[in-house]
Amino acid sequence: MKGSPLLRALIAFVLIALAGVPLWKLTRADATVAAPVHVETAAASVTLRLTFSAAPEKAEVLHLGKVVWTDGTRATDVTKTVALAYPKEGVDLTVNVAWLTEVEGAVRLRLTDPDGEEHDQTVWGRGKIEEVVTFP
Amino acid sequence: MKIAASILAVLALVAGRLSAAERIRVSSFSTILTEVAQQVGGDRVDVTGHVKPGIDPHEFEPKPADLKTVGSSQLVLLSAKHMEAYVSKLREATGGKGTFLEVGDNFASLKIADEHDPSKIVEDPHWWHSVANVQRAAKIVRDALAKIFPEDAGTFKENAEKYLARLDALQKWTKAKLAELPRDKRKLVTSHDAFQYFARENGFTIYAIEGLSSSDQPSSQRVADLIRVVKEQGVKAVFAEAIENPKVLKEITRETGAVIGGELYADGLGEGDAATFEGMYKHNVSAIVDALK
Repeated sequence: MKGSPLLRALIAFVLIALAGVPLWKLTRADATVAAPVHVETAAASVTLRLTFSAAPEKAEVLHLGKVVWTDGTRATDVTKTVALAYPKEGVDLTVNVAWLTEVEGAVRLRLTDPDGEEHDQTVWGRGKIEEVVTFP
Repeated sequence: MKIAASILAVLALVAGRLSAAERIRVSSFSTILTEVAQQVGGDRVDVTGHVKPGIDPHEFEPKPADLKTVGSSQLVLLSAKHMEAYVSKLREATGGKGTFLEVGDNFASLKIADEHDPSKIVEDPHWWHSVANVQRAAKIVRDALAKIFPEDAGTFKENAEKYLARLDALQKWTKAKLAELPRDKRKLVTSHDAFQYFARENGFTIYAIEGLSSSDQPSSQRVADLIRVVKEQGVKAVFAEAIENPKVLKEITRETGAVIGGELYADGLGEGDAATFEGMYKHNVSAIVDALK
């Protein structure tokens, strides 16, 4: 190989340095890695049937902080199909009910999940209910 | 008139001292039980907390001063479920005069496979991450105090009822807060395996770097497995612990892009907001929900 030893050493140094760039990029402490992506469960049809011990003044069902069902008609038995993400681990529904009188009241929730399976839960309260109900 | 007032003042002082002397002396080796004893016993107890907030109970060893205090205590509260490896030493050194109450042994344990020897089943000592267990502990302490000082049983019952009502409210708050977090996102990556009771009650799956004790060391295979789980399951955040070095967690965040979702109190009470059980529990739940949702 021709050329001065100094020039050859310089070329060798540059080549080694260039080869090290990708390695440095991969191993440096602040290398940016994309945040993990959680695959969201798609919304599916879920049927809710609510049966009240007495006509409520106000009733609502929330999922992840959003109202998915509300009713002010004072009916004692209502059925509605709603769209919500229903992962295999289940769902928490927040049930808020208010009656005009301070008597013991109950609401029975029957939920038919996207696979057609029915789950049944009843919650009680005095004058009102503010409960989180877990399905299944 | 002046003489009468002075006599009354002296009598009040003497009565006060007598009352203080009659207080039940309690030694506690758990920050949680220190609070329980204070809440249930009220001004009828003098509680010495030997394990201070922020101290790792897995590593704690009693010192001669602790043994001296325990020796004069009427009630000694222990977390139990093998948390205090020094308990027999403690009994021996203090002559076992007071009542030793191994609170955690009075209710069911979660049993899990040992990190190092999966054929061996061990008890999880972190029972206070279940609010229901803390309620059980309050009732056990109430009954023990009433046995030592039956005259004040009514006071202990009343104090316990107030504390239990606050824990009911905490349980309700927890359910409402957790309802913000979808159940398929309830994956908790923590420094050591301390949250199984919490997980069982609230539908979480735990992926811990270390085993049941904070002194356990993770293998490189374990860390690699956790990195894979975080990536595959899209876990947005992992959690450090207030008294742990988060070095391995930082490595996981670097490899996966997950963030450190904050510090959790795994082994008892801490400082500031976490100085009470309610504060500690709310801190943990809020940190978990806010980081993972």
